Amino acid sequence: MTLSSDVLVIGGGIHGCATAFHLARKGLAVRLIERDVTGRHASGVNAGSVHHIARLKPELPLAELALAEWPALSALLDADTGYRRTGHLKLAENGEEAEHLRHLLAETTAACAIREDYLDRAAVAALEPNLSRHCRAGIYAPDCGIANPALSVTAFRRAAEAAGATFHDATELLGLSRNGSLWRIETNAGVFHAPRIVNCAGAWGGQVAAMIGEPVTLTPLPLTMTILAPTRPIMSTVIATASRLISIKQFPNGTIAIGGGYRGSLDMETRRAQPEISSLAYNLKVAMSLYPKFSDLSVVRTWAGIEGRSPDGLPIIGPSRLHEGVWHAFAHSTHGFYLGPVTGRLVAEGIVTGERNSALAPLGIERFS
Amino acid sequence: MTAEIDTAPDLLVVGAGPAGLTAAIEASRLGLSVVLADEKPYPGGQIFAGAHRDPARDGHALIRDFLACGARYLPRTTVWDIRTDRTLFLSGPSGASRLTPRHIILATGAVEKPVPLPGWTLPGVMTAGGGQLLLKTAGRPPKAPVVLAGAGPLLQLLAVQLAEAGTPAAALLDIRDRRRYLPVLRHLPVLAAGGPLVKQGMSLMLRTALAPTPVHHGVTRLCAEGDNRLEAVSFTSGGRQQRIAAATLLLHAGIRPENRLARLLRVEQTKDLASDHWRSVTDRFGRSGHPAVSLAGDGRAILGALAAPLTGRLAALDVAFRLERLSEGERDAAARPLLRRLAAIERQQAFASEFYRPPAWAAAPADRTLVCRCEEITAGRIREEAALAPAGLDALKSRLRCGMGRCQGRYCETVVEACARAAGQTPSQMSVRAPVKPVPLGDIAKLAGTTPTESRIPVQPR
Repeated sequence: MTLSSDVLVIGGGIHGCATAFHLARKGLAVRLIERDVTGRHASGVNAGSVHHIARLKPELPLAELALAEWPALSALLDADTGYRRTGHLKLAENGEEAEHLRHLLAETTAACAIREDYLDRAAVAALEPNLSRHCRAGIYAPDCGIANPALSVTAFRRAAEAAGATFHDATELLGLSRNGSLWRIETNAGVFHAPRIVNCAGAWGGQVAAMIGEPVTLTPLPLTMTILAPTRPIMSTVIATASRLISIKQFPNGTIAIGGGYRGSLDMETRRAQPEISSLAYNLKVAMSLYPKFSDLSVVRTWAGIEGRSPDGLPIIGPSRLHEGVWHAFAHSTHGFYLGPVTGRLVAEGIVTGERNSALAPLGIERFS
Repeated sequence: MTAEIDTAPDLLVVGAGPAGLTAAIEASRLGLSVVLADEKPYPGGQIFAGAHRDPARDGHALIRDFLACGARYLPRTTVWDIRTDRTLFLSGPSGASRLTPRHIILATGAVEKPVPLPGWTLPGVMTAGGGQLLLKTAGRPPKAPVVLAGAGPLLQLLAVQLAEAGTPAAALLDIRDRRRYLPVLRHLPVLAAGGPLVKQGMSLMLRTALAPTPVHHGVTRLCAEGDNRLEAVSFTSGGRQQRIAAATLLLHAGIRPENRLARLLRVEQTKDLASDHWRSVTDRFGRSGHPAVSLAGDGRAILGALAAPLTGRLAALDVAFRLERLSEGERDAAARPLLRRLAAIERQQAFASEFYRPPAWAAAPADRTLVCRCEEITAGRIREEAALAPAGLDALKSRLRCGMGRCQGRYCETVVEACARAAGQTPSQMSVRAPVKPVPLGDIAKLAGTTPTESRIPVQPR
């Protein structure tokens, strides 16, 4: 059976689902193929952070647009994404770091309109009274927040389906070839045809790009998360620090999520990752140094998800440099979740208008050729 | 953990019920170094809980033999993670530790299947096993009037125990329908052959007949009623709707293996069709697909306390063979009588599983019934969502949060699965993730090793 569409999206994470949604809304016939189930990998199992995580300069213009997508998203998709505007606080634990944060803030302000405020020791303590007193300064970004990964991906999927897109779970890409202006997409569930394809294959996007002659070698990262049992409100914003990898947030139902990017172990054959206890324990040690009360709280679940890191740590988003009608949106290098909604919008626009948004200029695949 | 603990013993046994204790004793006797970890403060598991104190009780001698056998005993210790390289992570009174034994026997026993019904979250409603544990360890009966409801020999046993303690239950509501006598005919040869389970069953039937607890049969439409706590139980039986005042409702619909550690290791699971629950796939010695992991007792398959010492001994003999303390011939010779007795119990248990099997409705509650108690999700909501893509219990769990609360699915996963199946999904289980029981963060933090390279973020003025 031949399955045809105007666009074929490869990969059912947040980027694929968001792209499928925006394309379907523009009236295109869209099919999405996903090897496991939508949201199975990084998009569904990440920390739920909606903030300009790495503050990498080339990403900042896109980050500004990305943050602006989230507040109205639940209404746009007619489904709850779990988004809350909690703000984000990056802490300095000594004088040198405090100085460093001042520079970071100046850089961000110069590069984009994301608001960041410098907080002194008293202001930090007022915002987060349970935080260890050794934290002496911070950068606070009030327009950052949190969301529920699984709900967000599902919301995009269902809205895309409501707009006419068709999703194919358990459908694995086996081959890509071109017949004139039509792509032939071979899968374990049949052959698809479309004049345009979008590579949203996340940690596996480099392999898909290789199939069309644009290989990029990604580093797969098994990143660890820890969840604490629901507890009374201890914190109100998302916490990170200047020099130690850590991310801590508390969800509205009281559960606390601890992560930041600690590495576990990975089997790419089975697509399974798991935490490495020594590294996870270190992650928790850092968390405890910031919130001593954590010591008595219960860990109820840990896991590791698979992220794809690009060679320079920046996402790969934009048109193919070799083929018209092909767009890439993969290798978000641990900051893909918050970028998902805006990526979907800009990629869909790019496919329809043929033009790339200026915010995407530094992120094209051509930088690796 | 103190330095003297051998971090690489020959054998680690998880669980101090009859299977685990017997395995530890047998392995020690065969010259293996053994560590046994158990969550409770005293040996005995569920069935022999409190027996360490009372020489008159069954299990007392077994516990005494275990404590004298030379195995290292770690009470109040939870095994919360297990890896394919045989490393286990434990948490106990002195904090967290890791152990890498040469072989592992999981003797983690059974858990009760939940009986979700309207009002089951009211204070005063608990599992029959929970009620029995109170009776055994605290020595006092649950608050009267007590109503027993569900299906399974534990209910009859409890009715008898309560009556013999002078505090008989107000009623036993048996939810099995009259067709339950059909299995008796089919299994007549097994029953006629007798055996320990049959004897037990007959003795129980006699004691139940003598006890003054009114029994209602074919009970349906079971509801727990009350405002802030249980006040009454309503039900239909014999075509009539009835209501009994109650302060305690003890529910039971059978037990299933506690197999989370095995599932964490991805030991193959199979659906036991007679009992409609999942259990690990093992060979006759209890060895799983993982060459260094064996199972014993109810944690391997629900066969009861009489089979537990048999499967415990079989597992230990097999470990001794694997670790070259016994030849294959020696192992098989010792195993032969045990396997024979086990086969007889298995045949009797096959009958018991059918005879005591609850009707399908017990696992598939009314839409308004709360299924996930941690996150307050109803059966109707689960069915509704399970009918939508993407399919699979993990995907369902991540959308609804059922199974993501404190219990991590321990109490609700079988019911979530039943609701999902009713909505058309294929039978499956949720993925298990470590820790299999909650562990204090401070404990795990102490296992930090060298600073991971990724943890340092470069900080320079730019």
